[in-house]
Amino acid sequence: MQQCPFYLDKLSDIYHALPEVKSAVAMMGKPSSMLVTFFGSRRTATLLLDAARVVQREFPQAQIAGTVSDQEILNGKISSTHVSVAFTLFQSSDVHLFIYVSAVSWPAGWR
Amino acid sequence: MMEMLTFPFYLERDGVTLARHPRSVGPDGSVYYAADLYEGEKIHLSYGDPQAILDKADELQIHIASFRPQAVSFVSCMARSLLLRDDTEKELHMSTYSPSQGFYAYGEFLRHGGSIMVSNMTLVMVGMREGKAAIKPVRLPRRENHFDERTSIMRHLVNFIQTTIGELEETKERYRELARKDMMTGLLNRGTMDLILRQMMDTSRGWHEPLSLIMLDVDNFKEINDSFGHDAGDKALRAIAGILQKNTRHGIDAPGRMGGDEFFVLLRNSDAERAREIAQRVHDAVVALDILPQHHPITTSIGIATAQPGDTAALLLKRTDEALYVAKRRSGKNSIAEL
Repeated sequence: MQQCPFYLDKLSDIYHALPEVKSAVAMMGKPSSMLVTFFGSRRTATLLLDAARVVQREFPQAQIAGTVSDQEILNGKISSTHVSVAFTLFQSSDVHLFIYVSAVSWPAGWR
Repeated sequence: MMEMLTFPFYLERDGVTLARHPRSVGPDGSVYYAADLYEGEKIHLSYGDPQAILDKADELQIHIASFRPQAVSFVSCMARSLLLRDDTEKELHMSTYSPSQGFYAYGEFLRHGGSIMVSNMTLVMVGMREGKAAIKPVRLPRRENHFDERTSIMRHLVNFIQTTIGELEETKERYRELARKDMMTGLLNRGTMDLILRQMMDTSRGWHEPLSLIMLDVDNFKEINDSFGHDAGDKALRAIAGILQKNTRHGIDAPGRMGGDEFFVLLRNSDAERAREIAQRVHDAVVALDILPQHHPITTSIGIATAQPGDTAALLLKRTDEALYVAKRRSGKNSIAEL
């Protein structure tokens, strides 16, 4: 397993991150699964979705999940102005995502 | 908001301590919490000691780091970052060991002991690795223990509140204990018996367990008081209380004093046969007492009843009282009767 985390300030940052991720994928050989997790605040929700679309295009096999939250943590640093994205490459594990929609769920980022 | 964060409530559930902090106040004065509170749960006023919070986070991080994770996920409560402010990142230095990602949320949950637990103000860390875990003890980098001015003042306040809360809790517990107990004998009092009897009736019905009740009355107690004084009478009552405690299961059965010279014992998961045995042992032990002047004997009359299907607490109590009446009036005291 290997994780590559990045903070995104603008959309171009995801393009700068991709070579490092692709290199990690190549080093691992053939990852069994790729999980990409995005966390961003309400302010960065648009960037989050745009970046997620880029990842989806570049890595169609990736499982993508995330949430709009209060603040993000990345490698021990906190930010409320960036989107955090982590590419987790699995060597032998299968990753499945499920979504549970509840009538009583709070809207994301509810205060 | 700050006071809410610094002094949230906490409660114990399934052996876990959970924090609860109010989220907002409604127009009618009601308070909204981000996580659940069940009716009847005992809540305590708590305090957010930044030092203790960071120490606990370190403990957790060492535990996770020992697992040598290849990636770590954090889900922390925004209340922690509001409370710790500039010191918040001090609880995330696990990241020196492996890549990590996470976020601050408004309520966290995780599975503990088979059930999903909604939490507040918690830091949830998930360490992940593929392959066999190479668990090795680790040391985290030394944390800077210097807090900013605001946090430092808060720590002093916390120490003060901690002491005050401790004393209040102690006093409250003492009063609660006093309210439950009979002052003279230290046994349960009548009010507590009513409460426990109802609880035991429910339990015995639910688990299909037998439940018996013993009531005991000191024969000619007035005569003891009149002849040897109230001190001697009190001494006899305390001695009988000791016998009841000695002959029943601690923490399972419930011996108590109804008032005056009347005692009771609630016998959990006990059929009529066990109740008879206990009654006989108590009866014999009381007869063997030699604590009054002139070796004056002490005897008791005892009534026994075992709960029947359809019984209520009141019915069982009434039948036991009638059994005691039979032992006292019809059998000529110093005897045991059962209904």
